[in-house]
Amino acid sequence: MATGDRLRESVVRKADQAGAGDAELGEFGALVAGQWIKTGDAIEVRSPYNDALVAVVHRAGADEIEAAIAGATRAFEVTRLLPSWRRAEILEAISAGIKAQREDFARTIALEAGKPIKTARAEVDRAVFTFKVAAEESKRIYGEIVPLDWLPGTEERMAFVRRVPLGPVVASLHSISR
Amino acid sequence: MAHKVAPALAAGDPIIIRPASQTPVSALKLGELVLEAGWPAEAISVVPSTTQLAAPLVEDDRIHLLTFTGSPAVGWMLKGRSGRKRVTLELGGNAGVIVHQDADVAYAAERVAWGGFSYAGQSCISVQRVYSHADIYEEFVDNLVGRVQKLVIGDPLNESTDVGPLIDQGAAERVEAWVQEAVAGGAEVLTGGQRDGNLWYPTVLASIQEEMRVSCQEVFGPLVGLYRYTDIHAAIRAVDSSDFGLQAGLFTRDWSIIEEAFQQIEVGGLMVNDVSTFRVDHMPYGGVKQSGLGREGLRYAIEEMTEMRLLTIHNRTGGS
Repeated sequence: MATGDRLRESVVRKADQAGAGDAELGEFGALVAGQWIKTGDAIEVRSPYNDALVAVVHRAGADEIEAAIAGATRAFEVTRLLPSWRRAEILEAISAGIKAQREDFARTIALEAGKPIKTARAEVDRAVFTFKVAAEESKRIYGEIVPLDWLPGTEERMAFVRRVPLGPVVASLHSISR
Repeated sequence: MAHKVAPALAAGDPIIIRPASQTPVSALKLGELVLEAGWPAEAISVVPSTTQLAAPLVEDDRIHLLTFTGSPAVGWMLKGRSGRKRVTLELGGNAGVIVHQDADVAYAAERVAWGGFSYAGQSCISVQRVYSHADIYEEFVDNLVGRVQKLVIGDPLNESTDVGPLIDQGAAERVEAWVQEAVAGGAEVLTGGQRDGNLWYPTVLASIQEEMRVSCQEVFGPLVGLYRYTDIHAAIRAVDSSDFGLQAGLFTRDWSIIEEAFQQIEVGGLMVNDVSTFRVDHMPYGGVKQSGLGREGLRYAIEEMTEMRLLTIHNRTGGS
């Protein structure tokens, strides 16, 4: 195996506009508060195995990051009021969606992360399970009734604790290369 | 990825995902599915970006929780800049596994051959250090090396491949440098120890010392280092001596050893009769020490992504 041909730089490479057509998985915009945006700051995703062009992905810039945060802040007024059954329904749909696209997801992981296809399929199956469990757990966010009558004179008081949504969350995954 | 997104939706929180720069596509495809499933559109973003441009995601107080997976250096640095928000950090490990004299040795070897090399060791809970009792050391090592030599290395798209490439050249060169350091210090390469581009051959090292980087730092590559012990208490202390504390493994049938290990080893989780690499998404999962803060696992992540709100009622019986 020719090592020189397959060495891949750790530096992220900018995409050349003409090249997107060759990318096996195609070209992706950034998903910004529900909108797909091709920012023009596009980078190449290359196979860690053979440096083949896997995808071209448009990166978010400062405006898109702000739009994501502002969108999430507005959307919280909706998501915080979603009833359990609706959250569960959405999570079940995501689980079913991943299952329906199992091989496509597995191939994507194998291509961009260099994870062996067998292992990638197991990861996809795990995601199907995770969203299914989340659908179940979304209906079980329980609270407490707390007896307050520990002191004389507190007999007339009752306390309830509810668990409420926190607000917008960021999930950040840094380069997996240590 | 799924184990961060799913609890946020279950909890009723909008989520912004900033994927790793090398692996954005699976996150983008998941984002598409989240949209299609009917989650409010503005409540899902997947924003590949440079660390610099992503700074507001860490620093802005409109964000209420940051859940980060990555290296300790970056993780603790981001926590320092996170302002008022909650922070969950998953920062890796150099997991230790003990194989005691009463272990099912063949099973332990089978699990170490899986847990040390799955995804080329690029998992926070990958097995990195194995402490085997002297009485079963040779049997364990022979069994393990035999299994590791049968692992198929190569093209991730090939159905028979067990071990693919490391994520990039920098990773492969780093593993190579650490192995060279170990060998220079007297370590023995029982199998592997070679690089081919970004592929690193699954490696088992013996005669290692705790100061070697392959032992005390996170190798994040397909490599397992072996120690031999006679005193189980010393082995337990050695597993615990790590700066990291995510998960550990212990193969034994002896309940008092299990109890001692569970008391002593400062980790998020101790896996008995399995390797550190065992994980299911509904169990509480997370690290202590350098390995991080907070817990993942559906119910536990939902707790982190919600907060308590108290309502008290004073049922006054006033004058009529």
